[in-house]
Amino acid sequence: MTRNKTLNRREFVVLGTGAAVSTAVTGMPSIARAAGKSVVIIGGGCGGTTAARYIATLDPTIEVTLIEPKKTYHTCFMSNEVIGGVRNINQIAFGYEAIANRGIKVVHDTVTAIDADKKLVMTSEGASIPYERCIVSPGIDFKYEAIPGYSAEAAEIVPHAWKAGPQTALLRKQLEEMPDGGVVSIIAPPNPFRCPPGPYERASLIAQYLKTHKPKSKVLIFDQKETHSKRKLFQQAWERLYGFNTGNAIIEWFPVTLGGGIENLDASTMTLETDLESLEGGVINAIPPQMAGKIAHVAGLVDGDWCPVDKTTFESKIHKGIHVVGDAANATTMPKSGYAANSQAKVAAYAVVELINDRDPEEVPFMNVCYSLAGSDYGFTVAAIYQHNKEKDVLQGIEGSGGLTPMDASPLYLKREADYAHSWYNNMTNEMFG
Amino acid sequence: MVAPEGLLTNPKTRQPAPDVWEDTMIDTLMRQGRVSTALAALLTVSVTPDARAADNIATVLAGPCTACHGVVGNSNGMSMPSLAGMDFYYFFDTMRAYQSGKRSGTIMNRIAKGYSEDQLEIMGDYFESMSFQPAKQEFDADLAARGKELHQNYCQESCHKNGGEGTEESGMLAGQWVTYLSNAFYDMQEGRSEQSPKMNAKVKSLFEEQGEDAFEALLHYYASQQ
Repeated sequence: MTRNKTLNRREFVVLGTGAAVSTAVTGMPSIARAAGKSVVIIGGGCGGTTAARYIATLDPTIEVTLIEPKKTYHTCFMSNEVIGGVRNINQIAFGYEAIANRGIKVVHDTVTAIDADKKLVMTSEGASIPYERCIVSPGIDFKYEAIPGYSAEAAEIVPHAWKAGPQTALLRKQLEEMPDGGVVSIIAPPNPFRCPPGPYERASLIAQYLKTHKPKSKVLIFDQKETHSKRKLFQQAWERLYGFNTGNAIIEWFPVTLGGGIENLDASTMTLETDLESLEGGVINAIPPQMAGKIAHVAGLVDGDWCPVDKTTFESKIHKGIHVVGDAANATTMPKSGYAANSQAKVAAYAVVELINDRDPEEVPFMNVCYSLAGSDYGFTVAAIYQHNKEKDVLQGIEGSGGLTPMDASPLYLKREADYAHSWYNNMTNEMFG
Repeated sequence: MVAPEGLLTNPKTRQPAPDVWEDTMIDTLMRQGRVSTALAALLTVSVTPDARAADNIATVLAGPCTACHGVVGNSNGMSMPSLAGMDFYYFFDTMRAYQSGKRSGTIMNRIAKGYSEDQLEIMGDYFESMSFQPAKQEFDADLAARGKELHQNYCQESCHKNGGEGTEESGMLAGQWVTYLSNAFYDMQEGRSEQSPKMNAKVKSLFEEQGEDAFEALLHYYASQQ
């Protein structure tokens, strides 16, 4: 981005926090590449790519290195459309060429350690990369063993498909190969986890596929909790589209205390034993409980499963100079979503730039928007704008704003939200990879 | 120190935003008088003017918008309007209209309520200062030619200057995504969003004199300006 116009109208501006910023534009400061202004970003997903773009935009004199093992990234968001047969897997695949062309150093390697004292990032290929500040956006890892019988190896046969890519393709293939009359079981994880409405969107789009192609089949959701994100909106959609709560239901939902519990999963025989029944031979999608990605644990950035962070800068509360964004961070009430990671990455990038330049970053609000698709032309959302509540040290939705799509919304409203979801996808991925 | 042209009034003393559709003359006068003496006083004592820091705040404050509306506000999705290059006042008034419900949206009404006037001003400045890239979209040349004529006869003089560039009272039409334009238009026509009496009258005469397919021709004209 080139800023060739100064924002010469802005003056005495007051941010939501009550902090006053007095500015007068007297011309852009001259730009010179100073030695030692360097940021290393670990992870090339929503958080990492967005942070890289924003640091380069906010201060082009900072040297930005993005480290990501994969050369092709598949977005988790919209991967349910691939599973439901609406979208091809290549339509959720992106490379890092454009990022590299913007002057960001992209390194395809795996980070093995972070030395927070010496400010060094070590990689599996033996590189040792110094940083002034580091942004860690590693996403999630799975607690496979929490589902009895499940493991990383079993996931090669029974996909979780909760990191997009080959897992997504595998689940799609199994759905295509399943005979009409087969049962699809989704094990939905306990909170907190990546993409809270995701398992239910997945069930919806699988049901949409079954309705047309395998009308004798159905989807059963075995939920490891009592309720879930957007439950009423999903159930209204399922009633309208998939016979929910009738004898012809294509989707059935079992909360943990009403039959949702899992006794055992045997990948070798494709058998799932739940509290109520034993299901054999269908398609099983096992989404395990989650925790921060591996490097966060290796680098000692976690307290329990997730990384505690300052709620205004997303700087680690454990290791100064390292910021953690996205799913791995404990952002309190902010959900673990791509949009949230995007918003956190922008704020963290801003904080990093200001701190490197010896300025105090202002507090700025965060946003999350989660689009969910329940069928063609049927979408709904939850949105919130968050600010830091210092007393409780939580990110708190701003009163009177945000919220869910209303129940009983018109077909036009629901169609618009589905259309917006697709436009958002284009813009979000372009911001990350374009 | 000379106050730069177009300074905002001090938000503390700024009058409430006027009704978008009423009394645009008073509106304009208020806007022309937006450099207050209180602000001029503030300017002379302002501390450490740092353009970069201020620009950075604006960029990060507008960050949540661009996830949906595209990098710097140039959208790649046909339902999401581009915001880059949008007139500051049009942006501000539109966000206020989303807050009050005068403008119909889905998620925008919920989002707009999360921002203060002061924050909206910073965002408005940010998007106005970005350069607008017309959307790459298909159009029919013959329909676009008819649309151009209709635009000149019905839209240009009253409000939508030149080929439909953004103004204080209007978003960009030329080069904007026509899916969005169509949605916004029918929201007004069908009563979900408020429509100015002036536009109401113009659309009525357009449809009476040229038929309802005139609107489609207009869309092709706006799409053709790339």
